[in-house]
Amino acid sequence: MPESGAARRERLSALVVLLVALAALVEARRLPFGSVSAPGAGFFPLTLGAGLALLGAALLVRAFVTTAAGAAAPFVTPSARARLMTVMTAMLAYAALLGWLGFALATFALMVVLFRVVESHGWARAVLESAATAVLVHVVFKAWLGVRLPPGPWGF
Amino acid sequence: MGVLSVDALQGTVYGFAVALQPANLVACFVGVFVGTLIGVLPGLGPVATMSLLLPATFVMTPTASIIMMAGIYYGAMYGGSTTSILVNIPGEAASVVTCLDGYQMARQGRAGPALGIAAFGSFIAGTLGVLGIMLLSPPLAAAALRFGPPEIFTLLLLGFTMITYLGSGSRLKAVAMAFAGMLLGTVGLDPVTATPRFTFDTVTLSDGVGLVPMIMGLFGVTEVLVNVEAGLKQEVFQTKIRHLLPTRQDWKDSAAPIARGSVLGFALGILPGVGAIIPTFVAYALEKRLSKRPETFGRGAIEGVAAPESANNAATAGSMIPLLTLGIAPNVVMAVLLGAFLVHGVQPGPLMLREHPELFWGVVASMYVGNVLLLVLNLPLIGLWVQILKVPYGLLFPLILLMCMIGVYGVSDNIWDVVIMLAFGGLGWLMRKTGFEAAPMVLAFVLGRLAEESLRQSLLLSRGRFAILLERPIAAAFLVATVVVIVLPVALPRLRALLTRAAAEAS
Repeated sequence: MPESGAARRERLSALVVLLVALAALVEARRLPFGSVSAPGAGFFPLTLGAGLALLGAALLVRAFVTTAAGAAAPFVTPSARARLMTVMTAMLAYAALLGWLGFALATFALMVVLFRVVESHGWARAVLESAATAVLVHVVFKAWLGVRLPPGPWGF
Repeated sequence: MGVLSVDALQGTVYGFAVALQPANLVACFVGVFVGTLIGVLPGLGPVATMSLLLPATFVMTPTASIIMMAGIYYGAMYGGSTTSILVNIPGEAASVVTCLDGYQMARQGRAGPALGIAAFGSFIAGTLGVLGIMLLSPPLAAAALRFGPPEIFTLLLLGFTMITYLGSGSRLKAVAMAFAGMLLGTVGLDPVTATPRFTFDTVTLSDGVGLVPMIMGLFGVTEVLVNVEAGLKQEVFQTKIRHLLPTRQDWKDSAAPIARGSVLGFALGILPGVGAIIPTFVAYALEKRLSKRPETFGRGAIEGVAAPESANNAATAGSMIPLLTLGIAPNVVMAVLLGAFLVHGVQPGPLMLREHPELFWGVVASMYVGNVLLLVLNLPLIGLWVQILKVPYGLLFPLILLMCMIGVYGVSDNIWDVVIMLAFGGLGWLMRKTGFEAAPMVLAFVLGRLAEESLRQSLLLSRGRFAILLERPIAAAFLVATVVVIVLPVALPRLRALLTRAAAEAS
């Protein structure tokens, strides 16, 4: 019988829950438990970790017992995956470069990527939209509302 | 009882004096305007917007900030119905049910009355809800003053149990998410002994996981990722919107559903873990049951718009009660509002009524003012909202992402919080794909710290005997209620079947 994508998804996600719970248990065991009459720092996390582990195990068992009548739809289509990867990478790069480039410039770069690559606007249009966004957001949030945003080496 | 109503009356008069101060009036206006705007736009909900604007409220007084935040919430309830009716996409999750009959009405050329009854129903329900808050809060706060750790812990236990009904998916998964959320809540310094837990020797994590990055990730970034993946296309129903005022017959059909929806929404909204979404399903199912012509539901019955739209606004008001009187957030939006209170150095709860009366009564009265503003503003502005619906998503989503980044960075000044937000965004996307819901996790995260403190204090108090939770009458009552909540759906499969059928019909 060919394994359906939905069934595999159920099992994998249950396994992840279980593994997270076990990792939490290992880490929580290093904390002082105290006693039931005087619970310490480890009391609550350990209880929760144990509970989550039980739930993860139950989910895993259920995923194996019940046959999910799942459609054969792929987890994510290749083109959607490319779009999602671009968005995530661009935002992580933005977080990393914000301090170096300063808010205005980093924002401009991020917007160009999002407008150009993800939404496939033309270069001229993407650059124009991005510049407008960066200036507008800079004026509203930094100058007007006074939100602290990193200035970068050139002061904006 | 006489003394009580005099208190409520005095408080109300005082509240209006506060709410009508120019600065607070402006805050209320901005709140309901922004709320309607984001309610209209699919893909940006009240939770993300409120977190987003949190840094902007730093310069305002606590009262003005909370007035604005609350305005965003109930404003979004108004706006969400517009998108449901005209586009058949819920602008906001609590308006899912409104799509059913609202969009059908629009297709039959009755978009005007549908929008009109949604606005009037929301107004009536919102007004009744505010009245309910004014009457119920003082006695509840007085009762809550006598709560000790065992009462608080058992009340939270009841809340957690209800949380697992929050979603439409698997209850086992919801419980697992609640546990995971509480575990996330233990990250940082132990509240009693200040021992670092799960911090991995990092400075960022020793303050705990931030509520704002978590919420912006799970609700803002995840929503964008889901929409980017699907390539959201919206089509506005092309129609001339005329005759916004419902006819006499429309009113006759809607009066009882609005009244029932209001009461139902308010009562359900008070309960922890319910939120504004479930009451809309229940109200819709109830009206369909009571209707003499149930076959018209789903084909443009005005009752099917009036009841859920009233229910979600009344639920909004109801859900303020646990926050204002007990300091407990019954749903995710209230969790953000709780965060806003704390940022401004105010601890909501039974003492707030005495210590910050201007805040309590001012916010409650502002909700009344806000409802009037929404009614007066929104009917003439429908045309503007329709224009906004035509903004393509490709232009919108980079801006939403940018706002999330600025919002998170603005609160903490720490770039790692942006990274944490992105991580939660990715996690939220995976959770959507695998049928795990974010709401139980966030709520448990918020309530977890209080739950831990109250449990540990209870055990200290009783020298390790769990029986203390049964020996105190109020705590025992909460515990019994918890058991009832767990057992009832199993014992009454018919109730469960009714609810799932209602949910299935409505989705």
